[in-house]
Amino acid sequence: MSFLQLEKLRKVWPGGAVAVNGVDLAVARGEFVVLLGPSGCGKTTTLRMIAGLESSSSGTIRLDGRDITRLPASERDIGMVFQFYALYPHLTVAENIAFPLECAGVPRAERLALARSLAERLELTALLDRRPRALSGGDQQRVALARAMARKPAVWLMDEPLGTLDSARRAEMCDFLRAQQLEHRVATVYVTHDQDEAMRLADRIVVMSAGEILQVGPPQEVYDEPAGLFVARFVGSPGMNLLEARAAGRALELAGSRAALDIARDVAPGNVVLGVRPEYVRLAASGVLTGRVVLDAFMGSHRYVHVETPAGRVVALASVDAPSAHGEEVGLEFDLRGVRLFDPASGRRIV
Amino acid sequence: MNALELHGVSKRFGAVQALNDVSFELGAREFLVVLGPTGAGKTTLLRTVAGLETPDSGVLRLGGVDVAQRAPAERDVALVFQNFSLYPSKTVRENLAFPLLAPGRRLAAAEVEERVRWAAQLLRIERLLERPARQLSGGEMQRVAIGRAIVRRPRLFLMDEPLTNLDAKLREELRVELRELARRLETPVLWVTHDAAEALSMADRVAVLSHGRILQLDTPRTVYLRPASPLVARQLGSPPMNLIEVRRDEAGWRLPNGELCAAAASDAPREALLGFRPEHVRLDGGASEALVELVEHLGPQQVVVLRWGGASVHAAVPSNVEVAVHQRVRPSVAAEHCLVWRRTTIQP
Repeated sequence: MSFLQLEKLRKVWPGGAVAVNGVDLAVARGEFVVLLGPSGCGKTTTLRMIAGLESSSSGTIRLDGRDITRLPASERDIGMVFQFYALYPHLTVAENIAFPLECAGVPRAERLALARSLAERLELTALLDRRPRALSGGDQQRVALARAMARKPAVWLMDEPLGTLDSARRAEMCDFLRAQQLEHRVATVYVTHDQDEAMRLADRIVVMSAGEILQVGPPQEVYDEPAGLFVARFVGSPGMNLLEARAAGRALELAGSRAALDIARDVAPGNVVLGVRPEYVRLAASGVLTGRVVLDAFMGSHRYVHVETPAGRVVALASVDAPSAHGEEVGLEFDLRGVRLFDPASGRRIV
Repeated sequence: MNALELHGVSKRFGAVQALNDVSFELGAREFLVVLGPTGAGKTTLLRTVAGLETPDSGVLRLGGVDVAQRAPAERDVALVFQNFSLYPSKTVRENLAFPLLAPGRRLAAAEVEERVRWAAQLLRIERLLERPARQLSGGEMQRVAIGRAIVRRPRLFLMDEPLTNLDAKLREELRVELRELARRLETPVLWVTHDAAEALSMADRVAVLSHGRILQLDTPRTVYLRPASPLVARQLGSPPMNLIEVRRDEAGWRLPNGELCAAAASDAPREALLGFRPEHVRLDGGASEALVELVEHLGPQQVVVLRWGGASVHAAVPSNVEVAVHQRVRPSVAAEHCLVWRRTTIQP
């Protein structure tokens, strides 16, 4: 049985705007679920309804079998971490981290020991005796994170807790969060617009857009087998290449292409959208498409070569050898294993 | 001629040395990214070039001319901020036209209109022209803010983390768009960020800034593959470079608990800090065992956290490599991918 269950959860704002439109989601005990979507997709509102900070217009929230939909926030046994931290200014870092334990009646020595061990893992040890105002914004954020993780409630809810951190710190914090969650197995619902964070952290990703869930699945599955065009574009950095094409039996014709692509299976004739991730596109002397290099973005371990073709912009992942010159004409080959087809009208995947 | 030259520029605020003997040149069409964490001095650097701060010492030349005595308005540079500064009740068109209507500009109405249309087209915001700024999304606002900078056709763009407040997806799209735009405008750009991926993917050259000092200034490739110090190495790459304290004997580099990690040159120091990139770690072919502690699927690749010889090591391997948590593997790193620093050079 699922541990946290959302059934037909809806939120309509007083003006009539629908923020969350019938969300069904089951989170297992100890599972790490990430709600991923752009600003305004309803992910934060969903989280706030679980926390009890926002009432739901209709639908049910169950925690461990119990209906908590109308329960006040304080009675839900939920720990919350926000993007905008609020630390107690008159307490030291150690006291701030230990505070939730003090409320729970944990003896002083024990809670300070736990605060110390959390601080150690977050490299905050040197700051334990300082007060919040003496810390940088990023350090305050990390203290807030440590404080939220001091207590082990039934559920952790996290609303972009890494939002204000530098990118280098952010990757470190992802590892920390994941390790803590694996160790304590507290069911976690985490909200972010950053697909990289979602991929790193999640057991399952829930992709949301316009108040609805578009796809739920393990990160690699959502990445490899997107259910529709929105997910294909949103997941992956850069997203999937999407090109208009015409299907005729096993052949796919791309605008301006020299040759049709044999997709080795029959598809109903008509217009389709061909999707292919950059790692399945290869730069070649010739290929199914040709185009001009408009950007060669060095990423460190690899590079993304952006090519303007008659069928549209295509990004290819390439190894870190000599860069392509701006304006250079290149051929592109697609690895069929990475080719996905979508219905341009509905936006859904054609299986 | 260089668009910008700094020679020994320093600036102190009380006890904080915000800029410490900064010297560099920005080429006529160059896209130079200054990378550094919060508090490194990035914003002070931009404000100094813009004329909003006066350096304590050093020389600053724009287009070959010393601008020490020039007011910000006379420097002909455009500064774009992290928080898009627009007039909320004015339309996008009015916001774009505003910098051109400043007294002293004396542009004909037709010229103003032409420039507004040109900028709107480049930034793909034509359909937003009649909309009040307060109704725009974050991404649209930042496009307009950049539009306000380009209508002036300045000699130099100064960009202060312009993408930081945007959603990750928008950030990624605008990165590509703005890089192409800069090339089309043929105007040099000084761009500051804390985001290493942004720096690597956009820059002609990257300046790594720390505590007001430039640690290294070179092409993205060189800074990434040949970082001048462990401090630089740590700032680039996701996950960043592995940096491990090792000892050398006849067999090679040994990890903290004595396991063999990689081959070593015979003239290398006995004790060193060994640096190697996660993508250069293979999960087989090694002489010693490691335990897989964490696997993160990132799409084209997976990041594997290993407990190896008493150290925590990140590996990045293609997503088709079979690997699972608690598995034992025998990692290896080719000697040519190892960077060696003497322990004495370790910086905080």
